[in-house]
Amino acid sequence: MSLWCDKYRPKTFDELDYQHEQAELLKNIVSSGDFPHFLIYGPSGAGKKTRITCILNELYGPGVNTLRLENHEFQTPAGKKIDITTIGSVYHTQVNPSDVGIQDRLVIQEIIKLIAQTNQIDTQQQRSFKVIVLVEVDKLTKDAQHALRRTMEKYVASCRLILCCNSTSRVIPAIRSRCLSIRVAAPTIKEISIILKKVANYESLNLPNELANRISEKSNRNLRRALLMVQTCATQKYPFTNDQVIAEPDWEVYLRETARMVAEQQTPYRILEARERLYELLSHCIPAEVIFKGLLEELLTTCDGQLKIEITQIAAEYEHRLRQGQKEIFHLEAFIAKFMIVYKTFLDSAMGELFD
Amino acid sequence: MDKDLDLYINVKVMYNDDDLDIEITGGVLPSGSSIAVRKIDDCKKRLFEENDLIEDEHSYVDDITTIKETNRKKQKLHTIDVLSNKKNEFTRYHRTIPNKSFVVLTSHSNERFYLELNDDDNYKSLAITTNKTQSLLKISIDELMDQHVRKKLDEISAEVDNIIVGQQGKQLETNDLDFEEKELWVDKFAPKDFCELLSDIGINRTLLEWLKLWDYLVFNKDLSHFRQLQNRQYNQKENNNSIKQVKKSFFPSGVQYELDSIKRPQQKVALLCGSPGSGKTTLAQIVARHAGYNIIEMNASDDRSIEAFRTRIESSTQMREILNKTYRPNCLLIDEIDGAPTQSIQLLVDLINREHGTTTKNSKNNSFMLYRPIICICNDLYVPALKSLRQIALILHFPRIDHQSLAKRLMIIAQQSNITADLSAITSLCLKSVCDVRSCLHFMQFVAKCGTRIDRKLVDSSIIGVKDSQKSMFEVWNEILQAPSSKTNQTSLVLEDPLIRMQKKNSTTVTRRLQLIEMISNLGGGNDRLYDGLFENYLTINHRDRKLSSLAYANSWLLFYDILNKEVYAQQNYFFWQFLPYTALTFHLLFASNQPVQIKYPQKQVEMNTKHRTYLSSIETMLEGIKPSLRQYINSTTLVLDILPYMIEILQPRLRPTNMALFTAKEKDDIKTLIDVMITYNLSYTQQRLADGAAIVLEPPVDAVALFAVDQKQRNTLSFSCRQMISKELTIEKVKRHIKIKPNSTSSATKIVDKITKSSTRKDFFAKFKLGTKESTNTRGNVTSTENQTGTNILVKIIEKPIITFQYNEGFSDAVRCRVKMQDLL
Repeated sequence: MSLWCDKYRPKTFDELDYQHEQAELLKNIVSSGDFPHFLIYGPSGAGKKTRITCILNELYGPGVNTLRLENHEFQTPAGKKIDITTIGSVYHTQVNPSDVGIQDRLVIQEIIKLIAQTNQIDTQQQRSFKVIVLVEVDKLTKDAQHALRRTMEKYVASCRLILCCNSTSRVIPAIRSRCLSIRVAAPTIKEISIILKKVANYESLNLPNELANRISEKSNRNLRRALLMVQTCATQKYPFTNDQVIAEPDWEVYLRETARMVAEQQTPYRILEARERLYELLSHCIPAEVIFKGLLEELLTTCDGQLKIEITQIAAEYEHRLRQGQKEIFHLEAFIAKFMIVYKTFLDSAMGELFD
Repeated sequence: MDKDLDLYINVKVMYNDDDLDIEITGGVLPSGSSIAVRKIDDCKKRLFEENDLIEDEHSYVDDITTIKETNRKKQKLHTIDVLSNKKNEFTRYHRTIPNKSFVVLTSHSNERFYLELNDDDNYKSLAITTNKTQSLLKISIDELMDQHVRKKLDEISAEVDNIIVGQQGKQLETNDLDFEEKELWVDKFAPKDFCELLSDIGINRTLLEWLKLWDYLVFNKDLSHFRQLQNRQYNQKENNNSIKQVKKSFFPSGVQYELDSIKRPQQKVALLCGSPGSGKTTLAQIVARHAGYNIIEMNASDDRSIEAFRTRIESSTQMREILNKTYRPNCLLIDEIDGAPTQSIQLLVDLINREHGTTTKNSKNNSFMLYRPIICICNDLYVPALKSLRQIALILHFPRIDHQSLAKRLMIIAQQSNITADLSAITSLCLKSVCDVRSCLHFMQFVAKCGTRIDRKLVDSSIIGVKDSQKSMFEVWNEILQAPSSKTNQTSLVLEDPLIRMQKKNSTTVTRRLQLIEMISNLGGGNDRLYDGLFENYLTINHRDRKLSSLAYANSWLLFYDILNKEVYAQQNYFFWQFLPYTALTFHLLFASNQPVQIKYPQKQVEMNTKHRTYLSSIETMLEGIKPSLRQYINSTTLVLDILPYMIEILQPRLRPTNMALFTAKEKDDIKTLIDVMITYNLSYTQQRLADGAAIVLEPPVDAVALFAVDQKQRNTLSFSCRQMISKELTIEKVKRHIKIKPNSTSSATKIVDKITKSSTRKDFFAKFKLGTKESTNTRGNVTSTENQTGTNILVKIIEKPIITFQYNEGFSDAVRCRVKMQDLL
């Protein structure tokens, strides 16, 4: 494997670097032979999928590592054909139903039925169930989630579901209650630094402590990103120095500049300029939620005290509306306009006080 | 044939004052012999009395049947001419066939009677008189009479047929109806010839000229006149003659006077477009008739499936009417073509474009050639289906009819139909109907039915003639973003609404405006586009309030719209649709200004979407190629947000522009990881020809996704040669791995190996020999042949071993001869 984040990914519970207690727990559950449906959630780059692999490895042995792609084709009642690719071994199947957009309900129903209807023949040596891994469950439509909850119960004898998502807030309570929820917390900065050092050691590179700390701080506790950062640093400049430039993703820089523009000047024309940049971001496949978050983070640095709360509240409100709506650009721009107004009034009143 | 003995029997029917006279003339009669008439009258009377067949003698319909019956009689009488050769005693009617000669009569109840013929002296004397008159006229009087009677009979029966078919009833009143009144005024006052046309004279002439261009092909006429025209057209460019300039302006699309190989005009179709009621169909019909064509019309009421379309076109352009004595070639008039399915129009275009050379003898369908002009008529020229037709047709845009000339014409019509009308009323009618001749005439006819006066008040208060025509999106946007000027614009066609006139004074009040906007935004259709346009334009308007609070308010309405709209589309819950226009109202309230607004068509969103789609597809291609063991950890979001930005950096290490052999250990390491990454993530470099020379780019182009136009950042990009080198290394590495992992697709592998062997042919042939390898080359290029035959496995081994190279010079071989076995090669 080429990228370090892929190369040094643990495969079993014993290899995990952090959250050992949780690993032990999971190991015990799985080794008991039967387990409920899992709902694994946590931020990006915390190791959710790594843990899923560990579970599978523990369950079925190394057989799960020989993977193949499968193409499934379904037909909607309206006659539209949809394709979905699943990744799976003989023991498990990983599906990303949100690949097919609003038709995910059908995929959920059909795929699970398809997999669950075939029982394992040799139950003595093998497990009596297969595992279906559903990723990005929080992106499922409500319809699909409702379809899922009955299916989950119905086929519990022949298959187990492992659901994987970033946040449970978008998973309906009915599903949450049917699963054993496991939160995979992001590694702490310290843990990340240790891992970085370890990886650098494997690669026989000398990573100074300070740089490791800087990288882990900058990575937002996202281990994948931290590893990529180290590797990028290594390609850009080796031997490492402590004050080395740590590359940032372009979209982050771009987003930050946009936020700065908004904070700088509050005119309709500025909104237009910001809109251009938002279009640019959206077209580069940056999800609107990420844009919201990035904007807010940067805008908050220019505000203080009470304003921070207000702005955060506004952002939350607009982000919520974004979920209900369709056109992302409307919502992003509405947020920017609202921020401008609030910020401007704040500035004006501050100025007023100054002159009083 | 002896005239005396010949019995000529004829039936003469006269229709006078609801009474029916049937005459059976025997032999040759002098002018309307009264005797004969009386006799037949007798016949008839007796016939009717004795058999009591006809209950209601005065009933018109019955009479009609009698006429028809008589018609039949007539024929039968003719048939029995021969039978009645003898002189017979006229006695009475029989139900059975009499012994003597007879005439068959059939009543309307299909009962048959036989009329015995008697030989009385009348008959004889008649025969004699005929002989006398014979010499005076060229055609004997009886023949003349005969003709006259027949004609009359035909007329009557035709009329009768019409009425029977039309009415099927016994309503006598309908007969009294004035037929002219039943005609619509539109037809009644339609222009009868070219000079009466109301439409722009330039358009009329252009169409006529185009139609005349067909004369050579259709009528075999000389077109030298057009040669002159053609010349004139060239000259026109230089000439600044005022008259010609005017004329030039009448040729908006320009008729091309050149003819093609089989003497057809370049543009084989004329496409007339314009708003309804501007006289397109009338023009086409008149011009075609004027040019001597027989019009075959085809409109939306006809079946327009492909097959029907084809048969229709072929039959009308290749066949001719045989019933009409005066032969006129056909001219196909396809009305309302904008409603036809795309395939049909495509078929039409194909048929038109078919050239003489391309026709094949065998296939029946291909033998079609267009020899007749086709005129198409549409309202909306920019229907997607018409795209292909637009390119080849002579397009004539119909401007709106000048309302003054229309008013003048309407005044004349009003005078003719005894309606008092003043010019101002008529003018306002024209304006109200947006110069739609048809609706004006309908309105006037309607008024004529109710009364005889048209005045301004009537026109203004009536809602007739108001069309809820689709306004263009720009008009709607303008309407929303621009406040009405304080001076009410009377000729404003956009706001023609009966209510406006009523409340003219109030039209600037807010309530009124809002009603208006609501109406308009409902009219506009396509809410999505409406709001996209508003969204793109609302920020460019001059904003008055410094606090921007109106923006936030407008935005909140936009969001409201968005949420409703999603609900409508996702749940098919059309209940919410009714609330959608209110966002437009808010926009109007907030942003409408008196200054002119420059509205741009919303394109940004579309642009963004296309860009998004290309980026997304490149990401998807990349994802598809990633091995499943890696892919299970990656989804598109993490790829875009985390992996790609860094990967791009890793893919571009700092390399010195030197030979690969001179690289430092670190550089070699970097390249190794780089190639590794590229392979695992399904990336490669491909050469692309750009405007400024060739470039080597990533495939799929994911770097475009990850990179933004950030100013401060200095980027490290690989040079062309570096990329070239990497690309080469990559292919080699790929082949190596391919072999190690699984020989999957032979074709791609062979291709790669081909490349490698090609690149290595330059190496010194004998150097290999010096190294002491056992291989040697065959004199004929067997290496390539083995490649093709044995596939990847062998090739792989070739690569792993020192590569065999050979050079084949045609004509002689300087290769060392020795035995080579197949196994040596493997």
